[in-house]
Amino acid sequence: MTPNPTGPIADLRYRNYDGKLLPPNQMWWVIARQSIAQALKKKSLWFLMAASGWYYIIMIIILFFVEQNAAGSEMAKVAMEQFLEGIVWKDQFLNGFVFAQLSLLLVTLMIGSGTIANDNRANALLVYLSKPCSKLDYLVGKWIGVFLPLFVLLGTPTLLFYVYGALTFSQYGFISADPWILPKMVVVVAISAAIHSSLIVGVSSLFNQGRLAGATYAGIYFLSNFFTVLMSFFFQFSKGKAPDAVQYLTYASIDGIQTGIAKAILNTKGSPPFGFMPRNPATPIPAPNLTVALLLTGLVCAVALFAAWRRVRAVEVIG
Amino acid sequence: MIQLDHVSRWYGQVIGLNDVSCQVGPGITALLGMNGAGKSTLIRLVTGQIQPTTGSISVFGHQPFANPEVFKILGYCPEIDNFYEHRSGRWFVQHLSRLNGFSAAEAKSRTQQVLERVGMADRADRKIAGYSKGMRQRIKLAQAILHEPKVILLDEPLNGLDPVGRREFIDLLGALSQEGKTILVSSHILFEVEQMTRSILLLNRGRLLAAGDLSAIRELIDKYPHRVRIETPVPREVATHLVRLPYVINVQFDPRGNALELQTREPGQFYDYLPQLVIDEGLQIDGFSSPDNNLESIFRYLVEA
Amino acid sequence: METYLFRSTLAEFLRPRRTMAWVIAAIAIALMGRVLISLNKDLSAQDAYLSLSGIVIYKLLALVSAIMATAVISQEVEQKTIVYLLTRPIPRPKILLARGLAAILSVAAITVFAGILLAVATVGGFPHYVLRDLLALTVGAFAYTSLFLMVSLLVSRAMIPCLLFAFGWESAVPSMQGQIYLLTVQSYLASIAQAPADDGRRSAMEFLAGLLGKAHVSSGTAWAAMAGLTAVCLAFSAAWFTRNEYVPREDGE
Repeated sequence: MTPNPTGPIADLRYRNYDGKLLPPNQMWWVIARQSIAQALKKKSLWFLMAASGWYYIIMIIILFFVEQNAAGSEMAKVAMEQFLEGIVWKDQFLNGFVFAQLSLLLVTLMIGSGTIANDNRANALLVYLSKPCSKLDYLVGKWIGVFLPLFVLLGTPTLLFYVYGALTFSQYGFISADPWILPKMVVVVAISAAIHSSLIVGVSSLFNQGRLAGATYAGIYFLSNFFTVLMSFFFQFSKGKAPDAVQYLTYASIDGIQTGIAKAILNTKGSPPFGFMPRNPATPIPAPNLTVALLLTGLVCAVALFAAWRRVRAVEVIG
Repeated sequence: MIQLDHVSRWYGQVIGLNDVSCQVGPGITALLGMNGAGKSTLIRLVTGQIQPTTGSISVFGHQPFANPEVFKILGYCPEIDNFYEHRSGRWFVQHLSRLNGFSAAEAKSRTQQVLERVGMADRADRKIAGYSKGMRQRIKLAQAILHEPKVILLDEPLNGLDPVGRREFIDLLGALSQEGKTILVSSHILFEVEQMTRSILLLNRGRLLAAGDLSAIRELIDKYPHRVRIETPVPREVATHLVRLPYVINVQFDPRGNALELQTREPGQFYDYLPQLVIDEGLQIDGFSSPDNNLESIFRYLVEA
Repeated sequence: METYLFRSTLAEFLRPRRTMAWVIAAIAIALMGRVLISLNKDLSAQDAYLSLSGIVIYKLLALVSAIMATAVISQEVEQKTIVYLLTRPIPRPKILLARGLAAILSVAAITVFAGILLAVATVGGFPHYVLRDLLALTVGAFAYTSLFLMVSLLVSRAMIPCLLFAFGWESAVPSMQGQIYLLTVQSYLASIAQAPADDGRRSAMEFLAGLLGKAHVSSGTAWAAMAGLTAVCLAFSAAWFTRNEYVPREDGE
């Protein structure tokens, strides 16, 4: 222990501080930081982050074994060349994004379902809003506290796959096919995280139990997702001859709209996973109009955040 | 009767209760202690919500943990303030009455009786979400006594009650005690506990510091001599006579000049001697009291020791 | 006492405010069926029912089971009313079984209602495959709810592992090669439901059948497995609940 130079009694002059007080700005960051710190304590968060990149992991394993196999014979090398040249790299990013959605949802539930609900239950809003912390600070802080972990969770495996691909497969068009692939994926990941953050913050504000908020969000997510999965099967089953409404309805869910926006930004219709083309490939579903998709999504997120704005009040919740 | 025999309870590395042995019999016993002393742990052990790490507990001969037999004779008024908020108080009490095994008709009748007894009969049909703190406390007490238990445990029952409510609550507990029930009340509102009972269990940092009658405990605290305050217009004259007594060890004068305060190790002898002194010497004494013969002082002495 | 506890819990789980969302979901699913049929004239009513039942209703079953099962004990702990339940003269196993059974029947009621609405909206009646489906949903309610109830007692924040099982494991594993499908509930329910096989012309329906789970096991085995799963999970849950401590705690989710 470092001895106090003034003697055995600690320096208590801070109790009589009468100097300048800093203005209470960036309260939102204090709230966000606290939410993120709580999220990082959850061990399962790290597991789900790793799990969210499972598509990329399998893709890397496949590519690795394809390369290893090619070292053995000339025929295998030719097969490898054909395989690698046939891969649409941006579709791999799209597939990685789509297959990470379940992990993303689970993390959203884990860190977001109680974000305002728990404060409602603990009457913490009374405390927050009695400090120099506005409602806007509070909501922005809560939103950022969910958004940042989701962004990192989804973005880290994507970034790692990009680095691996750039270093290993640049001669097969990994970068040249779309030099803007990384910035595009950053935008896709950010939009996805923003959608989940907005919706879960809105839903969480409606309840005073995180469990019920999470159950409600999961219910909305899965029930709408089932419908869009069905629409996509129907579209593929009709070999593209289905009415336009079916195509639009394939994106009418939380999961679906993220996929649609990703397709629109990456400018792709998608392709089968892992670069393996089946004999009878399903009809790919075209991307939606990006502007319309973003506007509709923005509207839904705005409604959710407006609900949160109305619900966040400094009133006591009894029981 | 509640019996604890060398009961300890650990929460991981933290000791909640440390080798506590005591008996709680009929009448009201106050369970006292600072925050974190172990009061709630003890109550949870007796109500069978948790198990002791070591030692044993019995409530009228039954071990309480997950034992339905105990709950036929035990009523519990918890500290928590949570209910089924969308339901009415009457529904809540009646629901618990049914869970206690009463028929629908019997439950309805008992519910009405017990609501009248706690003063909630006219307000019980409103939703609990709209109740004040005091109303919630009354509903909690109602569900604790509806099945006429032999043992009633109350955890901080006076919290949130207004003065009139507290008085009514204390009177009700007194009436229940007169019926021969064993009542254990956990509280830290000491002056009100003093109005309820002279029998205490005092916990500090998980250990039992004292158990029994308040006066008997005070007698045993040798370290702190008893203080006696004497109201008199002639304090110095009175002091002249009192300092001669061998068991008076200290005399202080009130700055206002109308009283003196002395300390004595033998309060019994002193009180026996004082009236005779007054008669013999013709002293003018307006009144006397013992500032530290109260629960707060005893609490402080024992905890500080 | 136990009967009263069962009835009051059932009433609580099925009270209008709580079931309204599920009723709306059931109506939405039925509307999906009408939309599906109107958008695709080649799709028969049977296929429309089977596809929606397989993809939506069975997943709704899993979701409702997860929510109801975690409400049996976990919700009481989180809203701190567990103390009132545990200080009644009712043996703990009976408390758990009464509330668990109420949850199971609530799940069955909600999903069977959704199935009935869907059948009315698509097929317009109750042919044999619909009746078997409703039966499979009821069996599924027992299986899923008892399984998730056990998970909720063992794990805090049980909703997430339950959802992971219901929508991860149960979606991906039934279609896998080998014997691993035996570790899913969906496969057994598929055997009980015995949905009409597609005639090979419709590749999409084949894929949908894969999602539901091919009927690999015999019906008798499926019944025995589901009964065994339910009994084991409920028995374990009752034993666990009796031996462990449940004190009010803050909402952890």
